[in-house]
Amino acid sequence: MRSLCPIAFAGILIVIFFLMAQPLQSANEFRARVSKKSFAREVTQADVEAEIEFGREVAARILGQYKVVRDKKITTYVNLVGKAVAIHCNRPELDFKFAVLNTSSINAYAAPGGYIFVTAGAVKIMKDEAELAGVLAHEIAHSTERHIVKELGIKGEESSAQAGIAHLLGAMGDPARMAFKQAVDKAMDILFTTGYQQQDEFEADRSGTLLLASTGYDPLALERYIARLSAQPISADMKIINDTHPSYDKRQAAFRALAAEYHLDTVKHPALQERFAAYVN
Amino acid sequence: MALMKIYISLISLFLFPGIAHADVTVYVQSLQAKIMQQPDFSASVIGTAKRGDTLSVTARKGAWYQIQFAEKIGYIAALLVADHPPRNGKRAINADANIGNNARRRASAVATAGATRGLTSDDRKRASQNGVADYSALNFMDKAAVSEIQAEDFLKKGLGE
Repeated sequence: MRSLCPIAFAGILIVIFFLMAQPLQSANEFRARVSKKSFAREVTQADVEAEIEFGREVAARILGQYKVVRDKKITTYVNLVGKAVAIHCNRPELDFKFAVLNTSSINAYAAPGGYIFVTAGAVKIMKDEAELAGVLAHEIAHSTERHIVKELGIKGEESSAQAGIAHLLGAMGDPARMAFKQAVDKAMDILFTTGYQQQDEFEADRSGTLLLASTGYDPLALERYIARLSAQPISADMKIINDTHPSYDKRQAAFRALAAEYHLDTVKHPALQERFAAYVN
Repeated sequence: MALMKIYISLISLFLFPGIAHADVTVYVQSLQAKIMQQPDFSASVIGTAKRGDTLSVTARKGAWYQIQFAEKIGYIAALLVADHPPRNGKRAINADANIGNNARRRASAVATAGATRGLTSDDRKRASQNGVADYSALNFMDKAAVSEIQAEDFLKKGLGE
């Protein structure tokens, strides 16, 4: 009898281990889904500071490309709408700021670190405040997801073979300055010529739409605006946005799938046409 | 008897992880975050969490986390939370705000700021003069920024809250 106890004990342990293995794997998968970024290298305070400093330089270059609209009324309005969306994002360490660019070109831009731009041409074809919020939410998503930062490998500590912008920020001498300038040039290239990775644009559409819904605006507004863009005649004003984004067909298909997944057509959030008209017209 | 106690203790050790694995803690990043009765943007709001609040996540349903909130089951949009407390941002020092206006600055402060900011002040001055960058416009953008409270009030007025 006594010799059977260890055998019985071993048998019980095997059964328990078998039964527990499945839920434990699910728990680990669950933890991985909840904190997916924790399996990547953790973002440090130095990373955030580097991102903001770098973003300011990119923002200054964007403002050199197009003049800023210095009208206080429209600038304040865009900042209020943009910040209303930004206070719902998951990067409270970024002090989001917004500006309207004086160009008929139809587009919007996000420099790293929270600097967001929308062109006067883009605002002109919007119909309501929710559409403005949607476009700004899309750009905010590029910032919160660090799309340019990841593309350029901007890190605060030299923890890999990639050169970090913060490393360059702390370094002195011509080679560091040249490398920094090249990184800014590369960011401008992404914004004005090559575009983001396609998956980053789809992620910005998705996150932007969900952010819109979480803020309280009509979640279909961004899709509506993109649909209107797709109907615009091909012109010089549409060149950059057409060259740097996925096709409208693909974007609209993704929007439809997202709307179906989250029943967004049943969400009765306002579009605020009248307030938009009061500020913009 | 003593051996039996050891066996039971060891068996309990294997059972315990299986019971205790489920909950994960997340931190609210959004200034305010609505807690919904169902994982749906049209559902009723059962409460509001604020930035820094910790929530215990029991499951994930697409873009929603199921949480325990005030002794009820609720749902929060995953976009509004993260697995770390809210971080503080260091505001960038606007050392070159007056380049566009050609204002005079103390040379030592300029040199220090330039040396630790990737580009020197001369780099920025040259870029401004060449029209490649506009630091005066960046200064305008900084000054035009609104606070979170202003934006929240503006939003609430629009939504009729």
